[in-house]
Amino acid sequence: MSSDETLLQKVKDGDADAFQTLFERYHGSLFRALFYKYGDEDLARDIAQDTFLKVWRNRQRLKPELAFMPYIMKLGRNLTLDHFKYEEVRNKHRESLRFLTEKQSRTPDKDLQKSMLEERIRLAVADELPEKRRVVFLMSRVEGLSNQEIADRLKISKKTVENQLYQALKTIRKKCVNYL
Amino acid sequence: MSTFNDWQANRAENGRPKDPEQSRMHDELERVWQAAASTRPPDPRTAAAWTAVRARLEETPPAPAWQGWLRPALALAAVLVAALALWIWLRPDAPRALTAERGERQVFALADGSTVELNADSRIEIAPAFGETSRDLRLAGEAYFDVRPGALPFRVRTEAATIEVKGTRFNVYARDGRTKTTVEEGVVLVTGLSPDKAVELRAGEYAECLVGGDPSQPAALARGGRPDWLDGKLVMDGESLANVCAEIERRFNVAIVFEDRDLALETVSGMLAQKSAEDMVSAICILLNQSYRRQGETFIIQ
Repeated sequence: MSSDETLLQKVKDGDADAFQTLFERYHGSLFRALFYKYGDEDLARDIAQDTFLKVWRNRQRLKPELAFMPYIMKLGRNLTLDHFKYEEVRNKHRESLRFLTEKQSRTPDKDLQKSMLEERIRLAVADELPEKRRVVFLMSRVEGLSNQEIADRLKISKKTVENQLYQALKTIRKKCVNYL
Repeated sequence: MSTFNDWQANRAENGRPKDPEQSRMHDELERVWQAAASTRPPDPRTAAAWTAVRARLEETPPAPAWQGWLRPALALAAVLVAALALWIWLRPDAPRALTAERGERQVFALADGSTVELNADSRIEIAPAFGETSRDLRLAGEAYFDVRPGALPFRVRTEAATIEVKGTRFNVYARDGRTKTTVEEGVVLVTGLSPDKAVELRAGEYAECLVGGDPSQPAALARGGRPDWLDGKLVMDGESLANVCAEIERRFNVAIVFEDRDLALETVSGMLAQKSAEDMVSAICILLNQSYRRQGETFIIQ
Protein backbone atom coordinates (compact mmCIF):
# COMPACT_ATOMS: atom_id res chain seq x y z
CA MET A 1 0.00 0.00 0.00
CA SER A 2 1.45 3.33 -1.05
CA SER A 3 2.12 5.93 1.59
CA ASP A 4 0.16 9.16 1.53
CA GLU A 5 3.28 11.03 0.57
CA THR A 6 3.87 8.85 -2.51
CA LEU A 7 0.21 9.16 -3.50
CA LEU A 8 0.17 12.91 -3.02
CA GLN A 9 3.28 13.30 -5.16
CA LYS A 10 1.60 11.26 -7.90
CA VAL A 11 -1.58 13.29 -7.64
CA LYS A 12 0.49 16.43 -7.87
CA ASP A 13 1.90 15.06 -11.12
CA GLY A 14 -1.63 14.50 -12.42
CA ASP A 15 -2.14 10.79 -11.71
CA ALA A 16 -5.90 10.19 -11.53
CA ASP A 17 -5.53 6.61 -10.25
CA ALA A 18 -3.51 7.81 -7.30
CA PHE A 19 -6.20 10.39 -6.70
CA GLN A 20 -8.84 7.66 -6.61
CA THR A 21 -6.83 5.70 -4.02
CA LEU A 22 -6.46 8.83 -1.93
CA PHE A 23 -10.17 9.54 -2.29
CA GLU A 24 -11.09 6.06 -1.14
CA ARG A 25 -8.72 6.30 1.78
CA TYR A 26 -9.96 9.65 3.11
CA HIS A 27 -13.47 10.31 1.84
CA GLY A 28 -15.11 8.47 4.74
CA SER A 29 -13.04 10.22 7.37
CA LEU A 30 -13.74 13.62 5.88
CA PHE A 31 -17.44 12.94 5.49
CA ARG A 32 -17.71 11.91 9.12
CA ALA A 33 -15.64 14.84 10.33
CA LEU A 34 -17.99 17.22 8.49
CA PHE A 35 -21.11 15.36 9.53
CA TYR A 36 -20.21 15.47 13.18
CA LYS A 37 -19.13 19.08 12.99
CA TYR A 38 -22.20 20.47 11.26
CA GLY A 39 -24.79 17.79 12.00
CA ASP A 40 -26.12 17.88 8.44
CA GLU A 41 -25.74 14.75 6.35
CA ASP A 42 -26.51 16.25 2.92
CA LEU A 43 -24.22 19.18 3.54
CA ALA A 44 -21.44 16.81 4.62
CA ARG A 45 -21.86 14.79 1.40
CA ASP A 46 -21.72 17.87 -0.84
CA ILE A 47 -18.83 19.48 0.94
CA ALA A 48 -16.82 16.24 1.03
CA GLN A 49 -17.15 15.92 -2.76
CA ASP A 50 -16.35 19.57 -3.38
CA THR A 51 -13.32 19.34 -1.12
CA PHE A 52 -11.82 16.52 -3.16
CA LEU A 53 -12.59 18.33 -6.40
CA LYS A 54 -10.74 21.31 -5.02
CA VAL A 55 -7.80 19.10 -4.08
CA TRP A 56 -7.67 17.83 -7.65
CA ARG A 57 -8.05 21.22 -9.29
CA ASN A 58 -5.39 22.76 -7.10
CA ARG A 59 -3.19 19.70 -7.13
CA GLN A 60 -0.12 21.66 -8.16
CA ARG A 61 -0.24 23.35 -4.80
CA LEU A 62 -0.23 20.09 -2.82
CA LYS A 63 2.52 19.63 -0.28
CA PRO A 64 3.05 15.84 -0.19
CA GLU A 65 5.20 15.99 2.92
CA LEU A 66 2.37 17.39 5.04
CA ALA A 67 -0.47 15.39 6.58
CA PHE A 68 -3.44 15.20 4.21
CA MET A 69 -6.31 14.88 6.68
CA PRO A 70 -5.84 18.24 8.43
CA TYR A 71 -5.45 19.83 4.98
CA ILE A 72 -8.79 18.53 3.67
CA MET A 73 -10.51 19.32 6.94
CA LYS A 74 -9.40 22.91 6.54
CA LEU A 75 -10.54 23.00 2.91
CA GLY A 76 -13.86 21.49 3.94
CA ARG A 77 -14.33 24.01 6.70
CA ASN A 78 -13.63 26.91 4.37
CA LEU A 79 -15.96 25.52 1.70
CA THR A 80 -18.68 25.22 4.31
CA LEU A 81 -18.18 28.83 5.36
CA ASP A 82 -18.22 29.93 1.71
CA HIS A 83 -21.38 27.93 1.20
CA PHE A 84 -23.12 29.78 3.98
CA LYS A 85 -21.71 33.11 2.87
CA TYR A 86 -23.12 32.54 -0.59
CA GLU A 87 -26.49 31.64 0.87
CA GLU A 88 -26.31 34.77 2.95
CA VAL A 89 -25.77 37.03 -0.01
CA ARG A 90 -28.42 35.24 -2.01
CA ASN A 91 -31.03 35.61 0.66
CA LYS A 92 -29.85 39.02 1.81
CA HIS A 93 -30.34 37.58 5.24
CA ARG A 94 -28.06 36.10 7.75
CA GLU A 95 -30.72 33.74 9.08
CA SER A 96 -29.23 30.82 7.21
CA LEU A 97 -26.07 31.11 9.25
CA ARG A 98 -27.99 29.78 12.18
CA PHE A 99 -27.68 26.33 10.65
CA LEU A 100 -24.03 26.50 11.40
CA THR A 101 -24.26 27.54 14.98
CA GLU A 102 -27.37 25.81 16.11
CA LYS A 103 -26.52 22.30 15.07
CA GLN A 104 -29.56 20.57 13.72
CA SER A 105 -31.15 18.62 16.47
CA ARG A 106 -30.23 15.02 16.22
CA THR A 107 -33.42 13.14 16.65
CA PRO A 108 -32.68 9.85 18.34
CA ASP A 109 -32.38 7.09 15.78
CA LYS A 110 -35.68 5.33 15.36
CA ASP A 111 -33.91 2.04 15.03
CA LEU A 112 -34.91 0.42 18.26
CA GLN A 113 -32.02 -1.97 18.19
CA LYS A 114 -29.71 0.89 18.82
CA SER A 115 -29.22 1.00 22.52
CA MET A 116 -29.50 4.11 24.59
CA LEU A 117 -25.82 3.81 25.33
CA GLU A 118 -24.84 3.95 21.68
CA GLU A 119 -27.07 6.95 21.12
CA ARG A 120 -25.50 8.59 24.11
CA ILE A 121 -22.02 7.91 22.78
CA ARG A 122 -22.94 9.33 19.40
CA LEU A 123 -24.12 12.54 21.03
CA ALA A 124 -21.02 12.74 23.20
CA VAL A 125 -18.77 12.20 20.18
CA ALA A 126 -20.63 14.91 18.29
CA ASP A 127 -20.93 17.48 21.02
CA GLU A 128 -18.20 16.92 23.56
CA LEU A 129 -15.04 16.06 21.67
CA PRO A 130 -12.81 18.68 20.10
CA GLU A 131 -12.60 18.19 16.36
CA LYS A 132 -9.12 16.67 16.17
CA ARG A 133 -9.77 14.29 19.02
CA ARG A 134 -13.03 13.28 17.37
CA VAL A 135 -11.23 12.47 14.13
CA VAL A 136 -8.76 10.26 15.99
CA PHE A 137 -11.55 8.56 17.87
CA LEU A 138 -13.64 7.90 14.74
CA MET A 139 -10.63 6.59 12.84
CA SER A 140 -10.04 4.14 15.65
CA ARG A 141 -13.57 3.05 16.53
CA VAL A 142 -15.44 3.43 13.24
CA GLU A 143 -12.75 2.78 10.65
CA GLY A 144 -10.95 0.28 12.87
CA LEU A 145 -7.50 1.70 12.13
CA SER A 146 -4.65 0.80 14.45
CA ASN A 147 -3.05 3.50 16.56
CA GLN A 148 0.04 3.36 14.38
CA GLU A 149 -2.03 3.78 11.20
CA ILE A 150 -3.80 6.78 12.67
CA ALA A 151 -0.47 8.27 13.73
CA ASP A 152 0.84 7.84 10.17
CA ARG A 153 -2.22 9.40 8.58
CA LEU A 154 -2.26 12.44 10.81
CA LYS A 155 1.52 12.72 11.05
CA ILE A 156 1.41 12.77 14.82
CA SER A 157 3.11 10.41 17.26
CA LYS A 158 1.56 7.15 18.36
CA LYS A 159 1.78 8.44 21.90
CA THR A 160 -0.40 11.41 20.94
CA VAL A 161 -2.95 9.09 19.36
CA GLU A 162 -3.08 7.06 22.54
CA ASN A 163 -3.49 10.14 24.67
CA GLN A 164 -6.24 11.48 22.44
CA LEU A 165 -8.10 8.17 22.52
CA TYR A 166 -7.83 7.94 26.26
CA GLN A 167 -9.00 11.52 26.78
CA ALA A 168 -11.89 10.90 24.40
CA LEU A 169 -12.86 7.73 26.21
CA LYS A 170 -12.84 9.48 29.54
CA THR A 171 -14.96 12.36 28.25
CA ILE A 172 -17.49 10.02 26.68
CA ARG A 173 -17.65 7.83 29.76
CA LYS A 174 -18.43 10.85 31.88
CA LYS A 175 -21.34 11.74 29.60
CA CYS A 176 -22.67 8.20 29.52
CA VAL A 177 -22.24 7.37 33.14
CA ASN A 178 -25.97 6.90 33.71
CA TYR A 179 -26.19 4.35 30.94
CA LEU A 180 -23.27 2.17 31.92
CA MET B 1 -4.40 3.46 35.69
CA SER B 2 -3.74 6.82 34.26
CA THR B 3 -2.89 6.35 30.61
CA PHE B 4 -4.23 4.62 27.58
CA ASN B 5 -1.37 2.17 27.74
CA ASP B 6 -2.04 1.21 31.35
CA TRP B 7 -5.61 0.60 30.42
CA GLN B 8 -4.74 -1.36 27.30
CA ALA B 9 -2.21 -3.41 29.24
CA ASN B 10 -4.88 -4.28 31.79
CA ARG B 11 -7.21 -5.33 29.01
CA ALA B 12 -4.57 -7.48 27.35
CA GLU B 13 -3.78 -9.33 30.55
CA ASN B 14 -7.43 -9.64 31.34
CA GLY B 15 -6.43 -8.12 34.60
CA ARG B 16 -8.41 -5.57 36.46
CA PRO B 17 -7.15 -2.98 38.85
CA LYS B 18 -7.51 -4.02 42.47
CA ASP B 19 -8.90 -0.75 43.71
CA PRO B 20 -12.72 -0.99 43.33
CA GLU B 21 -13.08 2.57 42.04
CA GLN B 22 -10.36 1.97 39.42
CA SER B 23 -11.88 -1.35 38.58
CA ARG B 24 -15.28 0.18 37.91
CA MET B 25 -13.72 2.83 35.70
CA HIS B 26 -11.84 0.15 33.82
CA ASP B 27 -15.08 -1.69 33.08
CA GLU B 28 -16.91 1.45 32.04
CA LEU B 29 -14.18 2.53 29.68
CA GLU B 30 -14.23 -0.95 28.21
CA ARG B 31 -17.98 -0.76 27.60
CA VAL B 32 -17.68 2.65 25.96
CA TRP B 33 -14.80 1.36 23.84
CA GLN B 34 -16.82 -1.62 22.66
CA ALA B 35 -20.09 0.24 22.14
CA ALA B 36 -18.38 3.06 20.27
CA ALA B 37 -17.44 0.61 17.54
CA SER B 38 -21.10 -0.06 16.78
CA THR B 39 -22.41 3.52 16.76
CA ARG B 40 -22.77 3.71 13.05
CA PRO B 41 -22.66 7.23 11.70
CA PRO B 42 -24.29 7.63 8.26
CA ASP B 43 -22.59 5.65 5.51
CA PRO B 44 -20.27 7.97 3.57
CA ARG B 45 -21.15 6.04 0.35
CA THR B 46 -17.65 6.51 -0.91
CA ALA B 47 -18.12 4.52 -4.13
CA ALA B 48 -21.08 6.61 -5.26
CA ALA B 49 -19.28 9.78 -4.23
CA TRP B 50 -16.26 8.79 -6.31
CA THR B 51 -18.45 8.21 -9.37
CA ALA B 52 -19.89 11.70 -8.94
CA VAL B 53 -16.49 13.29 -8.39
CA ARG B 54 -14.84 11.45 -11.28
CA ALA B 55 -17.50 12.80 -13.64
CA ARG B 56 -16.57 16.33 -12.59
CA LEU B 57 -12.80 15.98 -12.56
CA GLU B 58 -12.29 17.49 -15.98
CA GLU B 59 -15.02 20.11 -15.69
CA THR B 60 -12.52 22.93 -15.46
CA PRO B 61 -8.86 22.50 -16.17
CA PRO B 62 -6.67 23.05 -13.12
CA ALA B 63 -5.52 26.59 -12.76
CA PRO B 64 -2.05 26.94 -14.22
CA ALA B 65 0.64 27.27 -11.61
CA TRP B 66 2.21 30.72 -11.52
CA GLN B 67 4.84 30.33 -14.16
CA GLY B 68 8.27 31.83 -13.78
CA TRP B 69 7.75 34.87 -15.98
CA LEU B 70 4.28 35.71 -14.77
CA ARG B 71 5.27 36.73 -11.27
CA PRO B 72 7.73 39.52 -12.25
CA ALA B 73 5.26 40.68 -14.89
CA LEU B 74 2.54 41.01 -12.27
CA ALA B 75 4.91 42.82 -9.92
CA LEU B 76 5.78 45.27 -12.69
CA ALA B 77 2.09 45.81 -13.45
CA ALA B 78 1.44 46.50 -9.77
CA VAL B 79 4.20 49.12 -9.68
CA LEU B 80 2.76 50.81 -12.79
CA VAL B 81 -0.72 50.87 -11.31
CA ALA B 82 0.63 52.34 -8.07
CA ALA B 83 2.54 55.01 -9.97
CA LEU B 84 -0.57 55.90 -11.98
CA ALA B 85 -2.64 56.11 -8.81
CA LEU B 86 -0.06 58.39 -7.24
CA TRP B 87 -0.04 60.62 -10.28
CA ILE B 88 -3.81 60.90 -10.31
CA TRP B 89 -3.73 61.60 -6.60
CA LEU B 90 -1.25 64.47 -6.94
CA ARG B 91 -3.03 66.21 -9.80
CA PRO B 92 -4.28 69.62 -8.70
CA ASP B 93 -7.92 68.81 -9.40
CA ALA B 94 -7.77 65.49 -7.61
CA PRO B 95 -10.79 64.77 -5.44
CA ARG B 96 -10.37 65.82 -1.85
CA ALA B 97 -10.55 62.99 0.65
CA LEU B 98 -11.93 63.09 4.16
CA THR B 99 -11.01 60.20 6.36
CA ALA B 100 -11.50 58.82 9.83
CA GLU B 101 -8.86 56.29 10.79
CA ARG B 102 -9.51 53.20 12.85
CA GLY B 103 -10.25 54.21 16.41
CA GLU B 104 -11.43 57.74 15.59
CA ARG B 105 -14.53 59.67 14.53
CA GLN B 106 -14.44 62.89 12.51
CA VAL B 107 -16.90 65.66 11.74
CA PHE B 108 -16.45 67.75 8.58
CA ALA B 109 -18.28 70.76 7.22
CA LEU B 110 -18.76 70.57 3.46
CA ALA B 111 -18.56 73.50 1.06
CA ASP B 112 -22.36 73.67 0.69
CA GLY B 113 -22.96 73.99 4.44
CA SER B 114 -23.89 70.32 4.93
CA THR B 115 -22.07 68.33 7.57
CA VAL B 116 -20.83 64.80 7.54
CA GLU B 117 -19.71 62.72 10.48
CA LEU B 118 -17.47 59.78 9.69
CA ASN B 119 -17.46 56.60 11.75
CA ALA B 120 -14.13 54.87 12.34
CA ASP B 121 -12.24 53.46 9.34
CA SER B 122 -14.27 55.41 6.77
CA ARG B 123 -13.42 57.61 3.83
CA ILE B 124 -15.17 60.13 1.64
CA GLU B 125 -13.92 61.48 -1.67
CA ILE B 126 -15.30 64.78 -2.78
CA ALA B 127 -15.40 65.81 -6.41
CA PRO B 128 -13.41 69.03 -7.14
CA ALA B 129 -16.51 70.83 -8.33
CA PHE B 130 -18.50 69.99 -5.20
CA GLY B 131 -21.00 72.72 -4.41
CA GLU B 132 -20.57 74.44 -7.79
CA THR B 133 -21.98 72.15 -10.44
CA SER B 134 -22.82 69.13 -8.38
CA ARG B 135 -22.88 67.80 -4.85
CA ASP B 136 -21.42 64.35 -5.49
CA LEU B 137 -19.26 62.35 -3.18
CA ARG B 138 -18.11 58.80 -2.79
CA LEU B 139 -18.21 56.85 0.46
CA ALA B 140 -16.47 53.75 1.69
CA GLY B 141 -17.30 52.97 5.30
CA GLU B 142 -20.01 54.60 7.36
CA ALA B 143 -21.12 58.20 7.55
CA TYR B 144 -23.98 60.29 8.85
CA PHE B 145 -25.05 63.18 6.68
CA ASP B 146 -26.91 66.33 7.62
CA VAL B 147 -27.62 67.84 4.25
CA ARG B 148 -28.50 71.48 3.84
CA PRO B 149 -31.40 71.90 1.38
CA GLY B 150 -30.24 73.18 -1.99
CA ALA B 151 -31.03 73.23 -5.67
CA LEU B 152 -28.27 70.80 -6.54
CA PRO B 153 -29.03 67.18 -5.72
CA PHE B 154 -26.75 65.77 -3.03
CA ARG B 155 -25.52 62.36 -4.13
CA VAL B 156 -23.62 59.75 -2.13
CA ARG B 157 -22.14 56.98 -4.21
CA THR B 158 -20.99 53.71 -2.73
CA GLU B 159 -19.78 50.60 -4.48
CA ALA B 160 -23.31 49.22 -4.44
CA ALA B 161 -25.70 52.17 -4.60
CA THR B 162 -26.29 55.85 -5.16
CA ILE B 163 -28.25 57.76 -2.56
CA GLU B 164 -29.77 61.02 -3.70
CA VAL B 165 -31.32 63.67 -1.49
CA LYS B 166 -32.47 67.24 -1.39
CA GLY B 167 -32.10 68.05 2.28
CA THR B 168 -32.27 65.54 5.09
CA ARG B 169 -30.40 63.63 7.76
CA PHE B 170 -29.42 60.08 6.98
CA ASN B 171 -26.78 57.45 7.58
CA VAL B 172 -25.00 55.31 5.01
CA TYR B 173 -23.12 52.14 5.87
CA ALA B 174 -21.04 50.89 2.94
CA ARG B 175 -18.72 48.02 3.69
CA ASP B 176 -18.00 44.59 2.24
CA GLY B 177 -20.18 45.10 -0.81
CA ARG B 178 -23.24 45.98 1.26
CA THR B 179 -24.76 49.44 1.46
CA LYS B 180 -27.38 50.13 4.09
CA THR B 181 -29.10 53.49 4.07
CA THR B 182 -31.14 54.68 7.05
CA VAL B 183 -33.10 57.91 7.09
CA GLU B 184 -33.65 59.99 10.18
CA GLU B 185 -35.43 62.90 8.53
CA GLY B 186 -36.61 63.78 5.03
CA VAL B 187 -36.62 61.62 1.94
CA VAL B 188 -33.81 59.98 -0.01
CA LEU B 189 -33.71 58.01 -3.22
CA VAL B 190 -31.54 54.87 -3.32
CA THR B 191 -30.52 53.49 -6.69
CA GLY B 192 -28.62 50.26 -7.24
CA LEU B 193 -28.05 48.63 -10.59
CA SER B 194 -31.12 49.77 -12.52
CA PRO B 195 -32.52 53.30 -12.26
CA ASP B 196 -36.12 52.09 -12.64
CA LYS B 197 -35.76 49.94 -9.52
CA ALA B 198 -34.80 52.86 -7.30
CA VAL B 199 -36.37 52.97 -3.86
CA GLU B 200 -37.61 56.01 -2.00
CA LEU B 201 -36.89 56.03 1.73
CA ARG B 202 -38.68 58.17 4.27
CA ALA B 203 -37.85 59.01 7.87
CA GLY B 204 -37.50 55.89 10.03
CA GLU B 205 -36.94 53.57 7.08
CA TYR B 206 -33.95 51.72 5.71
CA ALA B 207 -32.99 49.72 2.62
CA GLU B 208 -30.03 47.51 1.81
CA CYS B 209 -28.28 47.13 -1.50
CA LEU B 210 -25.60 44.62 -2.51
CA VAL B 211 -23.02 45.28 -5.21
CA GLY B 212 -24.55 44.61 -8.61
CA GLY B 213 -28.07 44.45 -7.18
CA ASP B 214 -31.05 46.68 -6.55
CA PRO B 215 -32.05 48.06 -3.16
CA SER B 216 -34.45 46.12 -0.98
CA GLN B 217 -37.92 47.50 -0.34
CA PRO B 218 -38.07 50.13 2.40
CA ALA B 219 -38.43 48.61 5.85
CA ALA B 220 -39.16 50.28 9.16
CA LEU B 221 -36.28 50.75 11.57
CA ALA B 222 -36.82 49.30 14.99
CA ARG B 223 -35.27 52.24 16.81
CA GLY B 224 -35.82 55.37 14.74
CA GLY B 225 -33.42 56.76 12.19
CA ARG B 226 -30.59 58.00 14.33
CA PRO B 227 -27.57 55.70 13.97
CA ASP B 228 -26.26 54.05 17.13
CA TRP B 229 -22.64 55.11 16.69
CA LEU B 230 -23.40 58.85 16.87
CA ASP B 231 -24.43 58.35 20.47
CA GLY B 232 -21.62 55.99 21.30
CA LYS B 233 -23.73 52.88 21.30
CA LEU B 234 -23.64 49.61 19.42
CA VAL B 235 -27.02 48.14 18.61
CA MET B 236 -26.97 44.50 17.57
CA ASP B 237 -30.09 43.23 15.91
CA GLY B 238 -29.54 39.56 15.17
CA GLU B 239 -26.14 40.57 13.81
CA SER B 240 -23.41 37.97 13.41
CA LEU B 241 -20.71 38.18 16.02
CA ALA B 242 -18.14 38.58 13.24
CA ASN B 243 -19.83 41.81 12.10
CA VAL B 244 -20.25 43.12 15.62
CA CYS B 245 -16.60 42.51 16.44
CA ALA B 246 -15.46 44.05 13.16
CA GLU B 247 -17.30 47.20 14.19
CA ILE B 248 -15.66 47.22 17.64
CA GLU B 249 -12.28 46.68 15.97
CA ARG B 250 -12.82 49.72 13.79
CA ARG B 251 -14.12 51.98 16.51
CA PHE B 252 -11.29 51.25 18.93
CA ASN B 253 -8.54 50.14 16.58
CA VAL B 254 -8.14 46.83 18.35
CA ALA B 255 -8.11 43.25 17.11
CA ILE B 256 -10.55 40.59 18.19
CA VAL B 257 -9.86 36.97 17.35
CA PHE B 258 -11.88 33.86 17.92
CA GLU B 259 -10.29 30.65 19.02
CA ASP B 260 -13.32 28.85 17.64
CA ARG B 261 -14.12 30.21 14.19
CA ASP B 262 -17.68 28.91 14.38
CA LEU B 263 -18.34 31.26 17.22
CA ALA B 264 -18.00 34.23 14.87
CA LEU B 265 -21.17 33.10 13.08
CA GLU B 266 -23.25 33.12 16.23
CA THR B 267 -25.89 35.87 16.09
CA VAL B 268 -26.31 38.38 18.88
CA SER B 269 -28.93 40.94 19.81
CA GLY B 270 -28.83 43.73 22.33
CA MET B 271 -27.31 47.14 22.91
CA LEU B 272 -23.84 47.95 24.17
CA ALA B 273 -22.78 51.28 25.58
CA GLN B 274 -19.47 52.31 24.11
CA LYS B 275 -17.06 52.94 26.94
CA SER B 276 -14.02 50.94 25.97
CA ALA B 277 -13.27 48.01 23.73
CA GLU B 278 -12.70 45.90 26.80
CA ASP B 279 -16.14 46.76 28.22
CA MET B 280 -17.79 45.78 24.95
CA VAL B 281 -15.86 42.56 24.54
CA SER B 282 -16.56 41.55 28.09
CA ALA B 283 -20.29 42.34 27.68
CA ILE B 284 -20.41 40.18 24.57
CA CYS B 285 -18.62 37.37 26.35
CA ILE B 286 -21.18 37.48 29.15
CA LEU B 287 -23.95 37.38 26.55
CA LEU B 288 -22.42 34.32 24.92
CA ASN B 289 -21.22 32.67 28.07
CA GLN B 290 -17.63 32.77 26.82
CA SER B 291 -14.45 34.15 28.29
CA TYR B 292 -11.67 36.26 26.80
CA ARG B 293 -8.10 37.19 27.45
CA ARG B 294 -6.27 40.32 26.45
CA GLN B 295 -2.84 40.65 24.89
CA GLY B 296 -2.04 44.30 24.32
CA GLU B 297 -4.61 45.55 21.82
CA THR B 298 -5.79 42.06 20.92
CA PHE B 299 -8.72 40.32 22.56
CA ILE B 300 -8.92 36.57 22.25
CA ILE B 301 -12.38 35.13 22.75
CA GLN B 302 -12.09 31.53 23.87
